[in-house]
Amino acid sequence: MSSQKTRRDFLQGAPCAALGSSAIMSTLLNLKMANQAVAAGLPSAPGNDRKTLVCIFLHGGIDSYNVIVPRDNARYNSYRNVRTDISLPQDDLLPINQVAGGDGELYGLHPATSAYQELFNGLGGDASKRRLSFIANIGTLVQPTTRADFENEAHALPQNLFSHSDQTEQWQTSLPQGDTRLTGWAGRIADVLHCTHNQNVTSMSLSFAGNNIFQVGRETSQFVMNQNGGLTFSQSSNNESHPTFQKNVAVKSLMEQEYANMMEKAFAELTNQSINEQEFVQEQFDSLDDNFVNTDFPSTSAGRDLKNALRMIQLRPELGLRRQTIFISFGGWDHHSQLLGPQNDRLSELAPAIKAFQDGLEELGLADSVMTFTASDFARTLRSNGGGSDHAWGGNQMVFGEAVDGGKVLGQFPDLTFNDSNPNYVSRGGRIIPSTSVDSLVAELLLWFGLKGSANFETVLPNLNNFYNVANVDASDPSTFPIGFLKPNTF
Amino acid sequence: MKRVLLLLIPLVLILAWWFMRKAPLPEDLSTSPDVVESPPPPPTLGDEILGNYANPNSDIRQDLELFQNYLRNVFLLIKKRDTRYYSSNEELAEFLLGKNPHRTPYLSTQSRILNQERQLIDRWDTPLKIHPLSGKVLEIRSAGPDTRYYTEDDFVIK
Repeated sequence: MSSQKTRRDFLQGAPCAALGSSAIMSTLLNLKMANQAVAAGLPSAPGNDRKTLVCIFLHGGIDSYNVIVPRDNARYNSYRNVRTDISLPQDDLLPINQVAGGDGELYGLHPATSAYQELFNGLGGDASKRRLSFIANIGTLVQPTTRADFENEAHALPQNLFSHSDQTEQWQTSLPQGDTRLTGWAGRIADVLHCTHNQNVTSMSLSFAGNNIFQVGRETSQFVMNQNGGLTFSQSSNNESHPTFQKNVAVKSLMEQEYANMMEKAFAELTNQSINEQEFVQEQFDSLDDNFVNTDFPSTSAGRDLKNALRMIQLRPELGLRRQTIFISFGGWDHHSQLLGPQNDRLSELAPAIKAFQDGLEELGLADSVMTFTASDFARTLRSNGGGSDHAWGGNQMVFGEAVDGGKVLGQFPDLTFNDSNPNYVSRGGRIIPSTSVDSLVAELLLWFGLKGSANFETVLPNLNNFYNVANVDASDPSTFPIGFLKPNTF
Repeated sequence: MKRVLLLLIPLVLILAWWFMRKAPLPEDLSTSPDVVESPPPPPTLGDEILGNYANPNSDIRQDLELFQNYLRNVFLLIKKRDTRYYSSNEELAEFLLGKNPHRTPYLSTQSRILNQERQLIDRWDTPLKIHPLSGKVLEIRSAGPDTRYYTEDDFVIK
């Protein structure tokens, strides 16, 4: 294959570079080429497959050892003994039925998560529609780590364990050792795929939770939305007497001036580009009325965010996107003071919204093209602090979608027996060392997403080689996958 | 003269033996530290800065500001640190008592801010809650006079 770029390749790549380049001179050049490319009406990148990764980030650190709980007597007793007053009654657990390929143990779910139970056991009672699997004891790691490694500081550990912002950042960057110029793994994947898979009309990275590090790339940036669509700069209202309207008209007018100074010109052009993108996205967003899907979404914050996410997934063709990432935040899990009641309230809001999201995808025929996963700062201490729990490390997360081989608990659910000889516990209060790394989860998500080549994986996940060799993957054999939650032949 | 010296030396030795024999011996060496006086430990940073901690003439806000100021000074000295060493009350106490990268105590076990279980306490003797928001910011919570956490009279600083 020739490595020489044709003029067409060059022009197709140019608009993407224009979005991300920080060098003013190259930006000016790229903007000029972008206009040429758009004017030339170049076709979109080849391929019709569309895929979206949705991250639901549970800010605050969810106590995930009360979301999925061992159900057999022996393991439940270990759980009960360590959790004492913050344990769930055994009889209240919602049973889930694992299929072959999981860890073969018995588990139950938090009583407020009947929606997860249905996604795990099969939608509408149909076992062929198992959409959800759990990944047990996953967390930030630089490399596989034992208790001895931790205690002897035998090798690099994630920086600032047990701290909210650091661990949130590390889940979103998958760089627990830090970096001089921090980018998120969704940003880095956009750097690799946006130019080759999307039409460069809008950003590949949509956030419904303000700015985040997750979607910060070196060359690409995120597009922030709220529950009404794009963050409005130019007023959609026609009320000309409104001060905001007048202010925006004035600013836009300024941006449309011809500037001789290159810096001023670049600033004006980039600002205009941003305004135009916002207006374009808003136009598309408004083109679908609220009845675009029949599935009922709960009228909660989580329900509204997930319905809007579904709307933006439905709009992928109009947005020129074959690859898309969506970031949603649902916080309120930092349950130091009281765990049982407040966690029940949060799960009662989140779980039905997640179920509605998956139902909506099924209704619109999009279920096979969307993969959703949960993430959180960290898990919480197994020991009660007197009704609540504190910051810990490895915990349990979910991944769901039609491409997920649902009905499994994957990874290694730890022995919760609380004593000094248990190698899973470190530090104080019952903190569990993760046995599966964030890198492994991300690598499998990216295999499905269409990332190819060891070099690209190394770009997106610099630590992956410490856990997994992507060269060994065989799409038909899940035992060769980093974790094994994908169905065979889905990438 | 030589003869006198020869007589005096044994006499001195006998007297020395006599007085040493008569010196009172502690009944139990392990429980009588007062007998052997060791020099007082050098004052730590905590002793210097937290001298007025929980003073009857101050209040909880001043206490926590004092503690925060003290922590900032310790963290200035220990550049290479990590929240995994001090993400809970007990861990932070051990960190300050010397389990830190410098292996240096910045707090003495006699400090007013420590209880017998080596927990950091407020003026009502309730352990402080340590909440690591980031590598640089610790939220410190006093349960307040009702000694119950997360109630209206809590005092929080970060």
